[in-house]
Amino acid sequence: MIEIRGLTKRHGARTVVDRLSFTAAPGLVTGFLGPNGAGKSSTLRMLLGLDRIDGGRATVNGVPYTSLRRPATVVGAQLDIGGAHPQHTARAHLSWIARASGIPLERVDEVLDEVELERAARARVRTFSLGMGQRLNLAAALLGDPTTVIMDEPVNGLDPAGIRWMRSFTRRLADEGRTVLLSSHLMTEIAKVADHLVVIDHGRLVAAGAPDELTAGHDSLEDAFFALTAEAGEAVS
Amino acid sequence: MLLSVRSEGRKLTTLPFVPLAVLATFAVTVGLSAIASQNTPAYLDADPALAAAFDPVEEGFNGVYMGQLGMVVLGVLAVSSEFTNTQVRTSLMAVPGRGRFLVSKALVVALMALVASLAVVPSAFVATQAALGDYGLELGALAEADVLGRLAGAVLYWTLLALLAAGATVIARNAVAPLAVLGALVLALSHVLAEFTDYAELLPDRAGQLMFLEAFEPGIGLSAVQGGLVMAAWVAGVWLLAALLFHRRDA
Repeated sequence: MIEIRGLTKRHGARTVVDRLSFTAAPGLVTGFLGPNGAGKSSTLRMLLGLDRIDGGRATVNGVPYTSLRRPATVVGAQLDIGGAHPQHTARAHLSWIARASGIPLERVDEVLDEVELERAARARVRTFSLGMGQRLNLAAALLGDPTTVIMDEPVNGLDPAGIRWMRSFTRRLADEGRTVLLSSHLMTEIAKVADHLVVIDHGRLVAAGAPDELTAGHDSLEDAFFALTAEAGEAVS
Repeated sequence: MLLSVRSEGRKLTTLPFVPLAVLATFAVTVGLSAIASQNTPAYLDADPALAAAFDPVEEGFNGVYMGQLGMVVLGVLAVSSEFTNTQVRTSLMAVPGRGRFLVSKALVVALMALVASLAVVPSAFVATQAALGDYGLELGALAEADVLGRLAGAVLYWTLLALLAAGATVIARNAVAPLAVLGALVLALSHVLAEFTDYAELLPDRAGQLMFLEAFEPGIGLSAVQGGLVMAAWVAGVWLLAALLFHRRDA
């Protein structure tokens, strides 16, 4: 369960996240949508304790991320790119993350299997393709068998087979009762898997609801999205 | 805290260049110690006045002086690696308490530097004595209180130097600036400054060197303990600033 309440982030005079509130519930895939620069990444980074919060709060299971003692066992987050030293092997990278949350090292090979990276376990991160890097970050997110899984642009850099795989994978995570939050600017991809959508633009909530509610009266989610964000844009100006 | 310390230990020891930096420090320091004192006996044979004033203990710390750059490199790499490919983001997701993360990092750097210097400093000292031949100390002299105390001082100096470098790198968030500043300081700058002012003795490296070298002449006359305290104060100051900045910054 993720709860965002009145969350605000400022960079100097610019407000990149503006009193944003939404909830991602267990057992559902929540799509967190918005164009590039809408404030999605800033929201996730505040939720994960990476960026300072200028107002409001963000909690997982009622607790701020920074208060978690063994965070990997509660929340798994896959941020889009980077996060691993190029000179580490995949296994070494996952091992130090596992250690920090007291997760047995056997789990490292299990998650490498789960994301189909088992043959790259001894390869150094610098040799990884974009898609492999994504999978490595997903493996890191799954290490602690967390009840909440957060993914930022999960289908970036994936081929069509990879996208299909990711779709069934996220479905399975939600069906197991986990809270799944998918952040993306690729609306049609997310609409195929999400049960609940949260749309933001200019750091503000534009719409929230089931995909068919949001698309009602429009040809596609994409059309609905542009209609919604255009309204929001007019409201701002 | 134990979890995050073990995590840091694993993170650093599995980065190939970290153990490599330690091994290179060992090889270079011990090797240079032997080479640098190779011709000393010949000079001393030729000049009895020089031989009378010669102090093999002081000479034994040549290697500590020459190899100290290795500790700067170790401290810098241990922290600058966090800023390669945004690894620090993963670190803070794994250990969200920033204070806990920094303390774990500092503990592991100190431990690695301590282990490295415990191996290198006495080896380099022995290599120098061996190269000095008849002018060198017997192996048994290592157990004498004065020599032992100064060896311990040199180990402490190297450990504090690695910590200083690591703290400076938290502030800089890259390897280049702290390597340039601290490298220049320990290799040349503090020597040059000492030509102009006796207060150069308050620089972290000069002060720390008092833990194993004779007092500087001329100088402001700090004792070995005072020198160590001055260096420790530098380390504490740098880490305090590092912690303040690290808490305020977005990762």
